[in-house]
Amino acid sequence: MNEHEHTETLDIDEPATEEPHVHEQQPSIWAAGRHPVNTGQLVMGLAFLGLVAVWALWTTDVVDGGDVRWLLPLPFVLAGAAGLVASAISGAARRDHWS
Amino acid sequence: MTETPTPPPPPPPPSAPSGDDDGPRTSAEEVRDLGRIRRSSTDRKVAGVAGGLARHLDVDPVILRVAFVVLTFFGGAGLIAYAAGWLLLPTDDGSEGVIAMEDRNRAVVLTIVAIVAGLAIVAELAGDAWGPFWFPWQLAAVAVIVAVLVNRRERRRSAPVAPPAQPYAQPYAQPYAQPYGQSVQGWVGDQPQQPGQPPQAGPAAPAAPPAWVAPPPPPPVVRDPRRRGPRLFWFTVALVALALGGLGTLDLAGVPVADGAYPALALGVIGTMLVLGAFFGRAGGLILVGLLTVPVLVGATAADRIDTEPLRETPTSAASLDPSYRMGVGELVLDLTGIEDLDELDGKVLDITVQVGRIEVLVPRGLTVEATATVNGPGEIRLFGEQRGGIDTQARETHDGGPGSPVLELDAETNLGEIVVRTR
Repeated sequence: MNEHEHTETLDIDEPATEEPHVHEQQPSIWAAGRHPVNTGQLVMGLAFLGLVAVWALWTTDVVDGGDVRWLLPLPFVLAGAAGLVASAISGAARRDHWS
Repeated sequence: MTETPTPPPPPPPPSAPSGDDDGPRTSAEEVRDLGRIRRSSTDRKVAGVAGGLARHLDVDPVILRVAFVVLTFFGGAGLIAYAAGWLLLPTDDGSEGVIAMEDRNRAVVLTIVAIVAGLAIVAELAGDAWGPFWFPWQLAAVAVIVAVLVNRRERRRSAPVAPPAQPYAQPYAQPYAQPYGQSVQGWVGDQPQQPGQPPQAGPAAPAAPPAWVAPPPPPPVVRDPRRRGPRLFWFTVALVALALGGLGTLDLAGVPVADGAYPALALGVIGTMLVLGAFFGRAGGLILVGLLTVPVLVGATAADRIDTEPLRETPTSAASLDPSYRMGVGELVLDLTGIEDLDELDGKVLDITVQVGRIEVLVPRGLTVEATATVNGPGEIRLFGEQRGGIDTQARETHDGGPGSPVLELDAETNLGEIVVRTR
């Protein structure tokens, strides 16, 4: 019984399973480098970009010094919020993956 | 020919090392050899700097962890030291630090870092904090700590749950095993069958396998999800250098470029690469570089706005005295002693604001001045000889110009710096 199953399975499935397997061995650079979101790097990256934005606003005199004082925490707040969202989404995706 | 038995499974990884108390104590000479310091790969809360340093000094790592946190609030000394350790120190599992260098060179650099951190503490204790302006350093430090902890938890979550012997074997073996039934043992076990011998598993096969001889499947490429894709650190460094070079070329060509544009551009590139690295590649080390760039940006921007020469206002009449004077960064000197019609000042309110810098008001003796001075950040106030200093300081003093003298109300405010009101 077992040999029967073995032979049939081998004959039928061999070419079909081999090809996509070979394809998977050479993923694109983007696919090879992608990984689950790194929340820490996302948060700090957005915070840095936000600080640069605040600097640009101040340097171009769109906002004056008094406003900058209130504007400075904004990058951290936005980056933190983005980090929480990313963390929640990746956590939910991970739960779906394992369930 | 003897039959090669199936190699025994690798022994389980050794259990956690025994307590530190078992080993010999570290000698003073060994402690002085800074090139020996390694970050700990086992005793780590963030990057293993405190654990490795504690092992080097032969002390409890909790002491150093607390010291790093506390010293962060002393001119950022703890952060500087930890960042340097993170960047420079290799780990005890053999991997190099982010910036690889020889032990002797590393010892010299670590000494310099220790001196810089010490100077930061001294500067903080001396009251001349080089935490520029009202930048929320404490908030930034907490943000960094939170980010690092979140990052570590993220990594721990994505780490394999299976024992370390074959962390990813099952997910990969399963798809191959199922279609081939029992014959998969000849594939996965990597034991070539001797011709004429029945397969190991199951009863003897009555028929020969199919004519097509499948090559053994290549071993599955097992990727550590924590370390996937190219390292972005040196690429980003090169990108920053390229961007700064381009900006410098524009600067030299006559395009007006603010001093702060250089660190801002670098920070923008680092931030962009970090956001990219959050999804693709490995952006390790860029957070620290970004954190080191932020104070440079703040300092350069402030230097950009500081007027090297103090702004000196000497109105000669009450009409030429503006009701308010505002300035970004620099020094403003307002000399009221040249006003001839002092009586016209009676009941007026004078408002002076300098974001960062120094305010000095010279008052004629015959003018009564009710002065209120506010320094929102660290700074100093001197009102008619009365001196106050600290953080978020306010002072109120009145100079009596004599009976019947006109009264001027003066409000002076700065975020960081000094306010001086005196008579002349």
